[in-house]
Amino acid sequence: MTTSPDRPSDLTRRTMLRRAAAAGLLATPAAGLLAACNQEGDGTTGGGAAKTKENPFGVEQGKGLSAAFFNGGFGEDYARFFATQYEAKRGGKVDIKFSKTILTDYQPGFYSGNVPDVLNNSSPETIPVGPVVKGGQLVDLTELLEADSIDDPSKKVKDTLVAGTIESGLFNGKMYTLNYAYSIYGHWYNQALFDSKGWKVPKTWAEFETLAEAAKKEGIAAYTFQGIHPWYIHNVVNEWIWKVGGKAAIAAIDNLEPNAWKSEAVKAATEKLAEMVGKGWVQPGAATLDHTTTQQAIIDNKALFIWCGSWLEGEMAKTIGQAKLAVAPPWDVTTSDKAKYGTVHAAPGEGFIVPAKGKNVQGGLEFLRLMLSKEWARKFAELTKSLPVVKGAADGLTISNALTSASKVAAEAPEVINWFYEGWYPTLQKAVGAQATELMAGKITPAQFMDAVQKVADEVAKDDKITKQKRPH
Amino acid sequence: MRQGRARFITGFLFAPVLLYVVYVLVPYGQAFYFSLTDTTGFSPEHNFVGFTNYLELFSDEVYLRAIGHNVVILTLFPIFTILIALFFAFMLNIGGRGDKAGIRGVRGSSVYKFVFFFPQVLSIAIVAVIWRRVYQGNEGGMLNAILIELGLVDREKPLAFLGETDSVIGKLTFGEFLLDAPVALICLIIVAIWGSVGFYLVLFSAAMQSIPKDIFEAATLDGANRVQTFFRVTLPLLREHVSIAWVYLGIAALDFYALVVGLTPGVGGPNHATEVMSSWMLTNSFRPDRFDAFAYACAMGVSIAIITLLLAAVQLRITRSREKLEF
Repeated sequence: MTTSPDRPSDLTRRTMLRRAAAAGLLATPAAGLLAACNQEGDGTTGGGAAKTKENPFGVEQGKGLSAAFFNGGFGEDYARFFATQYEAKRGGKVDIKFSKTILTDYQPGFYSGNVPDVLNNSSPETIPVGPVVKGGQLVDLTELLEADSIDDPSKKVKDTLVAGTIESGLFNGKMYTLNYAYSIYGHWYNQALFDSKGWKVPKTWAEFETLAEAAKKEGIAAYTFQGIHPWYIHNVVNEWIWKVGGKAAIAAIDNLEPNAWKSEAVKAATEKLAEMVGKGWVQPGAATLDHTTTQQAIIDNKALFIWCGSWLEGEMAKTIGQAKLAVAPPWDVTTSDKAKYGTVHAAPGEGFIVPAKGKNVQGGLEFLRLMLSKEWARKFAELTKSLPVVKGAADGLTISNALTSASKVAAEAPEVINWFYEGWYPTLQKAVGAQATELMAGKITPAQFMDAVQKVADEVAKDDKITKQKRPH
Repeated sequence: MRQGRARFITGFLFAPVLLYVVYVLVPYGQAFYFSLTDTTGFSPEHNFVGFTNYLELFSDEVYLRAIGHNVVILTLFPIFTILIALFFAFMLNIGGRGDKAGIRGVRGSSVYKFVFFFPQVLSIAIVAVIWRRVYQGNEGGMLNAILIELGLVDREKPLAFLGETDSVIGKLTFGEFLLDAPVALICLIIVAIWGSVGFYLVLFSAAMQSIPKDIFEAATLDGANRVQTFFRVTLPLLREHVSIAWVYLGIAALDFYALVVGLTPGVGGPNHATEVMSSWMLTNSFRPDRFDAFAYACAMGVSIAIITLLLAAVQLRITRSREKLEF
């Protein structure tokens, strides 16, 4: 190795600095690129045809429409059906696109003003509504709610939606998101296992305790959760808090009231979670496993209950074997729960938004109005095995065992519950999930859980860069 | 003639320089500019806010903890990678022993070289899939299965590995700054070392092969054993290569993004135990509840660049070679 002194090290030095810069700013160039492709952002929202009773938004017949859908659990079929239907009914070509990463694919468009007319804002990463509303980039959907329903002109669109749909799409008191699919949540179990052992679904904590000990003798864990995805266990925490403390306990949390996370209800709920861990009822190592592994544990009879949404059967369809999945509402957590047994968490999800700078905003609204017709909604239920938010749209459809079970639980529920902080303050939601996972791994105590979460809630409440929302008590 | 040469060089350099300016320098500049604003990242409208985003970094507990994690990685990852790579390179090239004359590696060294280099050709996604199975926190995980069979671990209480938030050095606090080294982070560092040793093994091997054999033979004739040969002869002659490896690994330690994304729950989890600067930056770029999250993430990106450049400068200065041995 004969080298003349300085030159190689000079070269490496330069290479090194370049690499340093590249390593350090790996993600930031994207920020600049956004600006680089900035175009004229003025939307062409004006014009259009005259507004009539049949054409409440003044859609120009035959004008093209661009629609972007999330390509996930619901697949592409229902979207393609919608597109052909729109073309048949309103003329105009529907330019349909699918994306697995809505945020990544459409953020640059929002920056430059090049947006679709309808956007299915769903995926692991969605376009955050707050910042986009702040920039005046979303259409307020009140106009849609007040328009006549496709099926029955004597009704307004808002009267055809199941309860909670509008509330779930509000930001600053206005509806910007239409959540289209209605999910029912609860504790899922394998009916076949319960039948063969003669076990019954517990309604009280005492019954659950007896069952858990019986299962433990057979080498079955009473409980498991989707470990590395903290969103699931965060929902169990919420459900149990509501169960113990009633709506007031969750409303205080949604409204970021001082010490909302130190209430008796939170204490009781988290102590019961800790008790399950302490008594060895939780599947060993669950905190480190993923959702399919833990959900499979229910199917394989390694665990009795897992909390999940009504998509569970569809998600596990390939490996379900002989298992018969059914869902139960949360059992009584204490002997003095404020909410009755049977209280169930159900919420609309799968959001759709209409960007304000689209080329055919009227068409976008009309597309949503058509989606809320019974014909389209029923087709959605058939194709996706999920319930739409349109009242009665899936009546009489026998789609799947799990969905039948879920619908029954929802129909019998004395109270349907929901919370909003998850959508309003994701920072807080993440903290609850992370701390609850620690609790379920036996790493922290209920008191530490409450302190840690309350601290984050206080920070969110203090942060004036986070827009605050209000839930009525 | 000279002018012709300049034109020739300019012609060749024009395209790459243009690409570099458009795709590297301009975005850097824009990221810096955005870091001084309150941009949402979704709309071109924004206000100028000065250095407030940077000031906020100092009170961001997670970011400070993430810096601490990068410091832990920076301490462990380069040292162990270099030591292991040096040891293997020595054994494969020089360490073979003297029943015969001459300097050679241990028996089967070419096979070992291939085996050690193998992780380098795997994409990070595959590395993540493999190691997730190795570390899986129940009896189905490779390490747990072995430990349970050996009776070292209770089947009901398997080791959590990537889910373990306990810190191996306790939790040291300096004001707002928390320094900890969770087991999950150590597990990531082990994967990183496993993945990097092969490359540096090849680098050091090449360097060792370029050292004239007669130097080693002279040492052997003088009665030096393997350890002495390594410390007195090999290591001093590899000084330059080791220092280059040091700087490269230092920069990699300040990044670490791919492993965190690939292996940890919720990017940087559980509960920020494996959060590094770059993963926290990404999480912040699209934090939906705070409207200027994008601008804040830009400030974080610029600060990471500054830290990395400072580190590279310091390391280059420390390891700057004084005199070289010509051979």
